[in-house]
Amino acid sequence: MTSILETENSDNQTQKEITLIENILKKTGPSYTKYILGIGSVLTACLTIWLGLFITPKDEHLGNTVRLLYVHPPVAWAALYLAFGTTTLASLLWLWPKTRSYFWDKIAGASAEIGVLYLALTLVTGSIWGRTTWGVWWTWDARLTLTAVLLVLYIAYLAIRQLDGSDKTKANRNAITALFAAIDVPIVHFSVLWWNTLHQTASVLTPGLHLTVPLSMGLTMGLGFLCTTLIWGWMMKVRYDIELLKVVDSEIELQRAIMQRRNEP
Amino acid sequence: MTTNERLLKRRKLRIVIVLAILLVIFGALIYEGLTNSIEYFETASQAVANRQTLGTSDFRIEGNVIGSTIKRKNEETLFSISSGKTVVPVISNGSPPQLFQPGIPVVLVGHFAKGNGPGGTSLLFLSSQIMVKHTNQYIAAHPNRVKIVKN
Repeated sequence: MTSILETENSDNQTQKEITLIENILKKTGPSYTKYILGIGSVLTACLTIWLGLFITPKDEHLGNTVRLLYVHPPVAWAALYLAFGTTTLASLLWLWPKTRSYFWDKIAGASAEIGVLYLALTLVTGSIWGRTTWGVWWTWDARLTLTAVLLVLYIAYLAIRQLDGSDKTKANRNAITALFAAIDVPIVHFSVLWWNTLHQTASVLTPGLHLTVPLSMGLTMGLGFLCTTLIWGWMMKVRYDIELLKVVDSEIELQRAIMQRRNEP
Repeated sequence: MTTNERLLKRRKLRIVIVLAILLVIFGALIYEGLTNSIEYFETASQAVANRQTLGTSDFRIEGNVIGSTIKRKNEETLFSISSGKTVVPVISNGSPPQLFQPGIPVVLVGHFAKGNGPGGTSLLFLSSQIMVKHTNQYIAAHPNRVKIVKN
């Protein structure tokens, strides 16, 4: 009697697992979200390149170097405010008991990975701009130094995410580390106002929010930002899908192990 | 409350306290370190006012290039920079970057020359490197205007 019950229970269980796997596979397959984000990214990238390279004027002093304006600030904004902002917000939502869900932990990690990529690109494009404008690839001014520190902080965060522990311990640890790393974001933002730096002050996110660039340049920067945002969105979706597929993977492993056990004599 | 729960609560409290202390130290370090040594340069007027303490040691100075003063002499570039009412004459043996031009703000690495002024210096600044400091003001160039002038 007990043995029959057990078999029924485990069959129910198996059915549940299969439904879960099917749901995840459906969720992570082709979707409108992915198409819209992906096609939008390509379109805005093409439009930004066209406007940035051919339509917008040269700068009186910087000449063609000014075209880095359509790459460097959008990538930096996407890293600092969009990607790391999302990581910070998602970490807070995990820590807040009413909104606690592993979804937020996964979102925080995915966004931080994209943020690290964008921040590295910020340093590279900034370095190129620095060489052509200032005359040096790198210098230890406040903005540059603190940005390098920020990159190290978020790489450390990604490393800490790999540490062992129960799911809950890990999520707690991740969230607290993320909040710690986030301290540097506003410091980087205000560094050009607080101290004498070689890096110029903001041209769009100025204290009064008045543009210090001609409108055509400002609009192209805006388009560049829309592009980096869409790419961020697309990568977030793909990265989150990978997390879900990891669940499928471990489920399949589990089922295989159970089957093996059952077939044992 | 069981002893287990109490222990757990105490451990949590301890972690929060340790984290809070770490945060305060981190903040204090950043504040201290940054306010004392993170100033990338001194403006020409700040530097002239601080000649007593600066002496002939290396630092970075910032000012606007006065257009009429630029002269090339062998490998050296001679010019003056101004910030506010202060004017500092400069001799630089570093080659100026492409963007170096009249009126542009620059940051120079170097030191005051020896002299009889405060701190044993003269007002002359000996520079080994010129960096152009771009402002956040972008101005669209007018290619048409240039063409008209050429014609």
